[in-house]
Order: sequence, then C-alpha cells, then structure tokens
Amino acid sequence: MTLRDRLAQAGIEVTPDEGSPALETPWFVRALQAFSGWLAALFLLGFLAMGAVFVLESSAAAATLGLVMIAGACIALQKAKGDFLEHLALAASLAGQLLVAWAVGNALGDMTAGFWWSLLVLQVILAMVMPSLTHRSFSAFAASLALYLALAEGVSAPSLAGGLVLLALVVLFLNEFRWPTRVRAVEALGLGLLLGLVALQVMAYLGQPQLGWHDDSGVSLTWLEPWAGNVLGALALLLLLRQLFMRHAQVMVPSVRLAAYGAVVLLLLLSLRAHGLIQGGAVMMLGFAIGHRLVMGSGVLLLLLSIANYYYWLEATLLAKALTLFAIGVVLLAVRWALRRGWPIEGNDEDRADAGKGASQ
Amino acid sequence: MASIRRELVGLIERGAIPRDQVPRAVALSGLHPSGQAWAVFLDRLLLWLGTLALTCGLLFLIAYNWTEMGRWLRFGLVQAALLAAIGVYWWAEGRGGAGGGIKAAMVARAALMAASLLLGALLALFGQVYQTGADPWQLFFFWAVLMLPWTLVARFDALWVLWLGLLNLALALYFRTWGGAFDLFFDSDTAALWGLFALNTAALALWELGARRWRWLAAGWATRLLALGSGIPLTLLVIILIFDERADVSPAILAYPLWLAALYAVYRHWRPDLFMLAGGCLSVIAVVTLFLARHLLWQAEAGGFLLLAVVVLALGAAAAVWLKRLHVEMSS
Repeated sequence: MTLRDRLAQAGIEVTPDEGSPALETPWFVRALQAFSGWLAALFLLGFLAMGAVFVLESSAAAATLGLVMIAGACIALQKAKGDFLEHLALAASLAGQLLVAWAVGNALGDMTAGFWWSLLVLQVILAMVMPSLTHRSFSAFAASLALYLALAEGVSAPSLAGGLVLLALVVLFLNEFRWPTRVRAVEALGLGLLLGLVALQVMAYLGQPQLGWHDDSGVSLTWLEPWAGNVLGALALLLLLRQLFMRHAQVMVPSVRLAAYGAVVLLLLLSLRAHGLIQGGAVMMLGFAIGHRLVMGSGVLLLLLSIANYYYWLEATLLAKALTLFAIGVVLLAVRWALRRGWPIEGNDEDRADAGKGASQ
Repeated sequence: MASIRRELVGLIERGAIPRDQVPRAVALSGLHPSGQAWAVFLDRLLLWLGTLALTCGLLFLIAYNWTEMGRWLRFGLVQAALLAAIGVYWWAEGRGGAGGGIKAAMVARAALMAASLLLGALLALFGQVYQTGADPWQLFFFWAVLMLPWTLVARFDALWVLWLGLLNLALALYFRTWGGAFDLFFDSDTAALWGLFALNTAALALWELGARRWRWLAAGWATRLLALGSGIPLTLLVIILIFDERADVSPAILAYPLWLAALYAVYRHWRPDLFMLAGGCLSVIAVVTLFLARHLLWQAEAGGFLLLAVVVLALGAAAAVWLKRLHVEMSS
C-alpha cells in the first residue's frame, strides 16, 4: 500500500499530483556544492587581496564590502533558478563572510573569544535567513565550530559546545514537521549541526592543548569539563524519551517509563567517567526515532570516535577507564536481559532485520 | 524508511496534505517506528554497545601498564575472554540453526566481532611481554591473517570491513617502515598510496561481484567506504604528480583516467550509485583546480585568482547539474 493510499484510508485528504514532485537533493551533492563554493570563495578573496589591497587594509571597507556581498548573495539566492547562479551566490556569500571575519579580527586585535562570539552571531543569522538549503547547512556547521571555539577561548569549557549542539539537534529534529512550509529548511539546519557535532569530536581527538587555549576573560568554567557536556547529552536523551512516551502514550505503563528514565540516569552516572559515549548513543536513538538513516549512521561514527578519544583522555588512568567500561557493558547487557524478559520480541524476522540494520552497521 | 521520508516530505512541501492534518499524517505514515520495531532496535543497540564496552574495557585493561599483574594472569585474562567470546558464538550459532533465527545470529555476530578484537589484544600483549622486536605492521598483518577464518564463516559485512581496515593499516605501516620493493621507482609515501589504491580497488571489485551472489554483502555503506579507500589515494597520487617538480612521468597519468572511466561505466550503467559518481566529480574538481593553481598562480596575479574562482564555480555547477539530472533518472 502506498503512502497516499494509507493516508486516504485514514480519512486524510491528499490532493492529486500536479506534475512530478521535486526530488530532494542528496546530502553529498549538497556537500559537493558547498565544497566548490568554499574553494571559489577562497580564490575570490585571493583576487581581492591581490587586486584591491586597500579593501583589506581598512577594517571598515572590508566589513562593508563583505556585508554587501552577503546581502547580494541573499538576493541572488532568492531569485536564483540555475545552479551556476546558486554557486556564484554561495561563493560570494562565503567570501563576504571571510571579509567580515577579517574585519572583526582586525578590530579586536586578535582571535579572541569576542571574535568567535561575533562569528557565531553572524552564522546563526545566516542559517536563519539565507534562502538556500546548502547555505543553511553550511552556516549551521560553521556556527557549531564558532560556538566551540568561543567557549574554549572564553570560558575554557569547550565540551559544553558538544552538549549544546546535540541538544539543539534533538530539539530541531523532534519538531521537524511542526512548521510544514519549512520542513526541508529544518532538515538542512539539522544536518549542518550533525556535521558540526562530528567535527567537534574530531577536534577533541586532535587535542586541545596544542592550540594553546587560555582563559583571557577572567571567567573560567574549567570545573565544568567534561561533565557539563555529558549532562547536556543525558538531557537530550531524556527529551527524546519524553517525546517517545508521548507518541506511544497508550501502550506505555508508568513502571516502564520510570525504568527507562532510571536507566538513562544510571548511564549518565556511569558515563560521567566515560565522556562522549552518551552523545553517540543519543544521536543513534534520535536517528531511529525519526526514521533518518544518515543521522543513525552519524551516531555510530560519533560513538567510535568518542571511544578513540576516551582512550587518550588524560584525566583518568587506563585502569579506571577499563573498570568504567566494564560497568557500562554489564549494565547494558543486564538491561537487555531484563528487557527481553518483560518485552518479548515477536513478529517476522525480516522486519527485525530492517529495523535493527542501523545498529549493526 | 528512507523512501517514506522522501515521499512524506514531498507531499507536505507541495501542500498536498492539509496543514492541520500534517501531525496525523506523520503519525500514520509509518515513518516513526512502532513499539515492536523499538523493541528490536533497543535489543540490538544494547547488545552491540554492551559487547563493545566489555571488549574495549579489556583492551584498555591490557594497555594499562601493570606492575603487579604477572604475565600468566594477563595472558590468562585475554585468553579466557577470547574463549568466552568463541563459546558464546558456538552457543548462539547452535541456537540459530535450531530455529532461534535472527536473534541468535545477531548474538553470534557480536561474539565473533568481540573475538576478532580480542585476538588483536592477545597479539599486542604477546609483543609487549616478550619484546619480539616485530614492526607494528606485522601485528596488524598477522592479526588480519589469523582472523580470516572467522571472517569467512561469519558472513557479516562489518567484520570484512574490519579485516580490510587491518590490511590497510598493515600496508601503510609497512611502507612507512621499509619503503618497499618499489623504492627504486617511488618514494615510500607514493608507494604506500599505490599499495592502498591497489588493495582497496581489488577489494571493491571483489565486493561488488560478491554482492551479486550473496545478499548479506549488498549493504551500500561498505562499498562506498571501499570506493573512498580507492579514490582518495589515487587522487593524492595525481596531486603529488602536479606539485612534484622533479617528476614528469608517473603511472598515475594512465591510471587516473582509466579509474574515472571504470567508475563511470560501473556506477552509471551497471550498478547505478550517485554517491560514487559524486566522489569522482569531487576528485576531478580537486585535480583540475590544483593543476590550474599550480600554473596560473605562479606569477601571483589577481587575474589568475579570478579565473580560478570562475573555473571552480563552473565545474561545481556542472557537476551539480549532471548529478541532479542523474538523480531524477535513477529515482524514476
């Protein structure tokens, strides 16, 4: 039975097709577009640097030209129908952003926390207003990175950024159909944040000390490291659970809800000594909950990256890490055992194989 | 569920479903998993995460620099865990044969994956305790050789990917250590890239052929990973050739167009896959841009930068137009 038939059977009026529906551009084609736009933007900036040095010498001139280019790109993207024009607008906007960043960096004297906060504001505005899915994804991704660097430079608590981005991701995807006219825009923002989350995990792997971060604002939240990131991850997981319980309200007995919340809190307590793990798990669960394979696959990647990071985490000995992992493993398998007793799996094998595919990949 | 999402989003976007009915339509569409599907998913997730946590726990424990624990205890610990993993596999396989179905098969796969990882821990422990003087590449190579029988019996794509990952690592480390037999012709880095390209291309070809016969090999993610393992080293070889002032001839000049042609023929006509073609486009854009950059930016003139920006834009737009057209064609 097709989706149309199913909806019609349930009494939902679906208007007949008018022409062929627009196909969603795959994420990797959008990534290719973003890559070539970014590369072209660098060359455009090189052209400005070589041909119009006076622009770069004055912060005001650079900022003005940058903002004009961004505004021009916004107008062009609203009217753009062809791919070339869309690419041109994308490259102009990115070059404009680089010019604005240059001007802000010049005005502040260095790449301080203020610099990254300014870029964060710029990227958030662009993610909201730019009428291009590729641009929205890119801006959401850049905003995640700017948030990480701002928190690292400003309050020495970069792991907060991962938790905040994850929380935003969960809230966004759980409400993806709330605004029917903006379904694709919300998905584009979500995918940008997801890419940002993976990039943050990779940056954590490359190591923060090498970047020589220091606390230059007088406000240090180092004591939050890395616990705050885990707590925010657990909060995201609890939000997800709440939403699921609302979806399946008629079949969920209160004792099951209580047990599930208890299991998340127990996992949180254990993962306080194994940071990052809860985030990968939350993304995988989110991907399954909304039927999005790319999100689920990214969860697996995040989980593998966080285990690799955990090995090199210097604040606990390998012995302590091993004992923590043993405890987590035993708890997870015990929960599975308890689940099988209370929630027997029935139905045919093929359905199970499809449903659980992501977990095994 | 990917096609349900695509169809549902398409209907909502076109306004085919009345606004006030959208939440009901989403709930009825089957996009969100049912309670039963959740039970299966959580079962698998807990099984895999639990197994992974226990295995990694043991790997971390062995890596810890013990002073109090003797070699007998350390070896005993890893070997006992290895035996336990194989025992679980044996038990689960037996149950699977007796009608236990996919539940038992999943436990068997998890157990065999854990055993394969523990085998590496045992080899590393052996090298650590006896200071055999072996090079790092030997550890990964013999690990891959010894786990091959398990990989063969498991019929499990993720285990094959782990096996190929170990071979890739062994090869890269081998060339870093010794330079290799091709040293007369190549630098060791170039030789390593050729080795990785040859290994992953052969693996990709065999995988694609195998997927025609065995359904469990048909998961797209593994072939995409192998295609990246084949395309990235070759693209890097061409880029090295562009920037190397000494080299004027390299087999890459011949191999690169042949590889592109094969990629096009296979993934455009034989097994249509847009991801592979997009990867090929990205590689061509990178190579052409760097070739032009090498020759145009030599004098560092502003015009060169502008020309490059236009070329990159044109190539990106052309690739996007072509890929979108193919996407429509492949989806119809």
